[in-house]
Amino acid sequence: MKPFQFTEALGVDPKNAELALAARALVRSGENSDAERALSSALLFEQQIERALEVRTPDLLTEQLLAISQQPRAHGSWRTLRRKMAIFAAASLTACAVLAGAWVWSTQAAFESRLAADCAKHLSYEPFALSRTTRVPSALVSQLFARNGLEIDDSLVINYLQPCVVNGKIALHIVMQQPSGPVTVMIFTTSKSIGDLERSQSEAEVRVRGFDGGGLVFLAESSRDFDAVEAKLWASLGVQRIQLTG
Amino acid sequence: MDARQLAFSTLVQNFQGELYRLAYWLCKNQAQAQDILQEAYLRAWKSLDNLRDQSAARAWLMTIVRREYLRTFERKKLITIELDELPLIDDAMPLDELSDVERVRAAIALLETKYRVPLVLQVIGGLSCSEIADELGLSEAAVMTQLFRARQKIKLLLEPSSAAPDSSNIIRTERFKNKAGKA
Repeated sequence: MKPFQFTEALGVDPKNAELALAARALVRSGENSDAERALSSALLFEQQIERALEVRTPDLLTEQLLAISQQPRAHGSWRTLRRKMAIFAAASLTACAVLAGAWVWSTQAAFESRLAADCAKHLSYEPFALSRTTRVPSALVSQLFARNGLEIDDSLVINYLQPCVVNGKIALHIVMQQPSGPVTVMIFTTSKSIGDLERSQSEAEVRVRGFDGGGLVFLAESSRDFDAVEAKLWASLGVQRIQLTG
Repeated sequence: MDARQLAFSTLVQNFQGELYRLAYWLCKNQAQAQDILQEAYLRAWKSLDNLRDQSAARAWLMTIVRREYLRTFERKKLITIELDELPLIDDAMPLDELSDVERVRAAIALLETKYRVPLVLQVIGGLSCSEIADELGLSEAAVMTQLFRARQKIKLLLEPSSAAPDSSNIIRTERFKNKAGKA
């Protein structure tokens, strides 16, 4: 990157990850001895802009917006929805059949590895989930878990919760903020037995645990808080932990 | 609560904060931002069935908010808010006593829409230059130029000469406006 390109790029998007490397290269080559200082200054300025754009949301905004969904819907919309649901159900059944066929031919270890890889890939689709810090209301947590056939008590502090489709499988995607950073847990309900697994996957630490009727996949930059989060989950979830042997 | 309401509730819980910020910085007025958000979520509720990919929810909602802002602007021609109406700035405080954040906030508010909107979409929305270009119907190069100029103009407005002691809010506002125009 030429010095003038570097200066332009600083003004366009100072958080561009390539700029740190470019700044170092410009200093080393002697083309711009101030490049790293300019980058730091631009990042500091960017922080000021971010802080300036922060606006407090009005009181009761959530309640006002949620009230929208209490309004009755037109009859035609329900027909459309039912038709779409029927198509979706048929597609889901086909997808499940294909997946089930594939599972028969796969080994148990390969299954957990693939599950871990799928979950790690899924995180890149929802990066904003990791920065959530407010607690998801317990009532919403209970409802979503119940919809997936799971019971949970209200002791667990969950900062993000979203039902997701991970490579054809329905999963509850949750994030819990911990001392060493956010820990993601994907909760699957399946009749397939899931065994234990610990590995690094796509720059994330991954832990897989099985229970009677499903499995948990833990993902985080560091596995330091896995034990604590896992203990909390076993205590809150009304499920029986299963450890496969052999 | 049915599945549809549950999905909508998740969209509200997850995105209302950043969407409100986006709406606020588009129209620079709290009440209008709230109206825009209300209308945008109403549209989202009506067309929720069109959202098939959950990972696209954020971008989908941002597009709805921006279109709702444009619709409101065209319908009511009401985006004529002056700096003095910004509730985030303490009018009684001389400019040199404004905090850094308030000064940056005032400078952003004074940017022309064509500079402020791409900046807001980038910083609040987390959109890339090509995504902003798609969203605004511009070339990527034009977006890059606008982002570069937006930051330059903010810096210019924040130069020490802008902070000369002056107790008159009107004069201060005019000085900011003149400088924004020249920048």
